[in-house]
Order: sequence, then C-alpha cells, then structure tokens
Amino acid sequence: MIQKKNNIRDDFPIFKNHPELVYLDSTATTQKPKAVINAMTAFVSDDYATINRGIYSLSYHATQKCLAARKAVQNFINAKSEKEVVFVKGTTEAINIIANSYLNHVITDSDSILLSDMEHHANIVPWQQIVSPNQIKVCNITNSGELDWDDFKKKCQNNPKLISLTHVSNVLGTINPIKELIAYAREHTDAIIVIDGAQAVGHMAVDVQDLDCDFYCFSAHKLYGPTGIGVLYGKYELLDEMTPYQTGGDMIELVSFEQSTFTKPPAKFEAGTPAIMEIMGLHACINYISTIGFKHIQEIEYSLYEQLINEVQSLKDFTIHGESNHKAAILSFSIKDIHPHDIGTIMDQEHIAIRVGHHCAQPLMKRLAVPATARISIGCYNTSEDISKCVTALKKVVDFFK
Amino acid sequence: MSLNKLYEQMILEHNKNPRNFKKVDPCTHSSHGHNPLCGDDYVVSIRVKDGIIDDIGFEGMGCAISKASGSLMTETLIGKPIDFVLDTKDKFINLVTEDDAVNENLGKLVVFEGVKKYPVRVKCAALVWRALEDALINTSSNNNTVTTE
Repeated sequence: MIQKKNNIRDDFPIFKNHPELVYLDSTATTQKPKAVINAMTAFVSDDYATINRGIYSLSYHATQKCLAARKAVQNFINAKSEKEVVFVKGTTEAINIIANSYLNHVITDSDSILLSDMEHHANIVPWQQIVSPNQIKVCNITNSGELDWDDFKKKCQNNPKLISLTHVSNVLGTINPIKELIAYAREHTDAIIVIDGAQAVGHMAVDVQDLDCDFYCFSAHKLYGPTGIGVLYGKYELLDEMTPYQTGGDMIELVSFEQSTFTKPPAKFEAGTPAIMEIMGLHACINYISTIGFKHIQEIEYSLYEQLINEVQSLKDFTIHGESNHKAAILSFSIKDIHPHDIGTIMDQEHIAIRVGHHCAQPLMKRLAVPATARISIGCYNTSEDISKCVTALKKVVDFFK
Repeated sequence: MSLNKLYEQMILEHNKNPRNFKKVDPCTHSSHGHNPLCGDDYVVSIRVKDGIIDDIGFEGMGCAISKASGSLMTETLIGKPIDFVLDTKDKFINLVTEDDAVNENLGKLVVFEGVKKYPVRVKCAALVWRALEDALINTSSNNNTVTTE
C-alpha cells in the first residue's frame, strides 16, 4: 500500500495551479512534469537552432541533442539501433506511414489484414484508405473484454498480410498478451506485425526485440511528454525497403529537377524541419519516467485502481466494461439510464476530469452495445483522495438523476 | 453556476418522460440528427398539413439535455404554422448561444437558458432543432442527416 501523499504529484505544476483538480483522464493525455516543461523551455532559451545542416556550433549542439534523444528512445524500448527510431507527430502519423509506405506497396487484391474489435480509430481508418472493406478481418473480443484467442487463431489461417493490434485498450483497459500473439502469428503466418503502443508505454516497460513486433507506435503526450511528437519503431530492413509518403527537405541525398534520391532511415521518413523542441520534451519525459521507474508507477496505479474497483461496488446500476484479469488502470463504465455526457458534466462541476463519449472506438461501442461510456483513467500523479472524491461525485450523479 | 440551472426540474422530468417520443407515420418531412462526438442520435419526423405542423415526433437516444430538448420542442411546435416554427427555432438557437438573447415568446423553452453557460453542452440542446431545420428546409430530399460537430 502506498502512503497517502503522493510526492510525484508535486512534480506537476498543473496541480499547484488547480489545487481542486482531480485529473482522471490520463488515457486521453497526461499532464506534464516540471522536468519536461523545463527541458523544453531551457532548450528554446539557451540552445535553439535547426538541426542536421547548420555549420555553426549552435546547430551542431542542437543536432547532438536530437541524436541523444533518439538514443534515449532506443534504450527506452530496447530497439537494436537508434536508426530504427523514426520521429513522427504521434501514434496516428506512425500508423499512417506504415499504411502508406509499407502496406500500400505490398498488398494485392487477394490479401487480407487482421485487426481487432478493440482498436482505436487510428488503428482502423488508415488501413481502410489502403484496402477494401472485405480485406479487413476483425478478431472478436470475449465478454470480459479480452481478445478471443480461438478467433485469432482461426483468422490467422487466412495468412493475413499484416496484423495490427493495440497493446492496451484505451476503453477496456485490457493488456493484450502481445508477445504470445506475435509468437503465434510468426509461427502460422507471414504477417507483418504492427503494435499500437499508445496506451502501454506510460505504464509498463516495452522491449520491442523481446516482443519481436515489426512496428511499434506511440505518442509522447501519453507518456507525460509534449504533444506533436511520437515514435515509429520499425525493424531496420523494413524501414529500409519502404518508400516515404512525405518528401521534402532533410530526407534526400541528391535533388535535381529530373529526379531525387532519398537518404536512409530514419531521416527518410522525417521530411522537413522536425519538432525539435518537442524532441527535447520526449527525451525529458523518458528520463523522468525512468527515474520514477515502472515498478513504482505500477504500484501507485494498481493500488488506486483496486481502491476504485472496491469503492464503486456500492454504486447502484453501475456496469463496468472490460473485466480482463490483465488490465491497465482504466475503468470504463455505464450507469443505467444516465447518459455518459450527463455524468461528465456533473463530475466537471466537482472538478473531476473524466472522459465521456465513444473514445474514438465506435466499432467497440457497437460490440458493447452502448452509444458511449464514461471512463476513469489513472496516472502516476493520482492519489487515494482523487479516487475517493471521484466515487463521492459518482454517488451524487446517481442521486441527481434518481 | 449551480447544476440546477442546467438541469432544471422540467428538463429532468422531460428526460424521464419524453413527450412525442415516436415516429410520425406517415410524415411529410424527416431528418436524422447525429452528434458524432458523443453519439447523440435522433430522427425528427413531421407531418405538415396546410402550412401547419399536424404532428411531430422524435426518436433515438442521447443525454438528458438532448432528450428534454426534443420533448419540449415537439410539445411547443405541434399545431403551429411553419413561420412560427422557423422563428422559434432561430430564437431557441439564440437563447442557448447568445448572451444578450431575447427570450420572448419562448414559453417553457426558456428552461434551456442555462445551457449557454456550458459551451460543450450547447450542441446537445441544439441537435433536434438542427434536425428540424434540416427536415423543413431541405424538403426535396427526405431522410437527411445533420450533425452538430
């Protein structure tokens, strides 16, 4: 059991500026620690210049700092080389790159791809732009909100060209057994395997070599870092054979009006001046998380989740969506006859920020047979008091609409 | 701002027991109102006879504000001439969006005045009205869809 006071909270200025705030929407985006804010401010104040092409020392040092950030990401996810780390805007852009630069060049009319019922729109819509609806196979989920293994095995029989799955469901909280799923797919298919890691990287150690995925995508802003920066990890051989779908400056070897040649990964996928300040923020958030350690983060998150689950037992007509035994600290729920938007507004009056809606997962809402849900998600800065206030407010919601 | 200003008793009551929660059959006009962000989803159906709303109903699902809005809208407009309906629609949209809105002749609909203090909920109150507008104005094509995003 953790002590009542969570010292990590003091690292986040938002809670000083809004002492009343109970922030339980970390799955949408996380708040930022001083370490990240300061790193970005310091870089812009002291070290800012373009990277990769300036001959002057300020530019050289900025370039070195970006290389160090790439190295830090490599270590964070245990990639074989920093060349396998492509800086992108976020998970969405990463998946769009794979769809356009990889799948688009290898898919034929007779091929299929395999997704699951619990995917975020970012792991559905980009594929739909490349393949026709009948080429998209969808793995079912069980009533407790886990991937249906039997269905997965069955759908692997089609030998899909690509399998793209979420590591952690942003609605159900389910942590998929990615390593086992990948091992099975490797044995029974020739599929290229993409993992949407948006909801995983802030809560658990990820080792891409151990997982043996081909691509792994995530965003810094769900990792206590800034928006506008994320990572596409890809095995180097794959990145090397791919054709970039955005072109321009910084990703070429030679340019003439007759033709241009592209440079090697990762630069090949990073056309234009990158989000340099945000790259500094990404590096800082990785350092920040590493200092706390995932062991401590998980202790905090799981003990609060347990408290939450125990306390909501007392609420009437309360339905939990997603009851896997292997879950992140995410609780999606419905209250009978009360629309999630009404829940959200009343919670907001109590300064409690939760997410309500379809969570960019409309096919999953259809599978759960609900128009929308309310969702509580826990971050490393939350406290036992946050959970108690949240449950008290939920009781108010129930009383208000009684 | 007290919650009771948003969720007036009348709104809570109409949410629990919505009036005219039905499909008008046969109807002369209908439109589908959908809010893709939160999933509020209603079909408004209307039968116009001699320039008068002979019958009007709404069906679907959504939050308390959107459902009460459909209930009070249909209750207010039944038996009224089209000119009055369109004028009331404009006044209602003003009521929930403009600070200096004039709320004369809005009757019970003034209970939605509190909504403008909750910018993210304005679209909930407006959804059925947008569908109504779409149904009456785009008469050539029945069963349209409008969204409030």
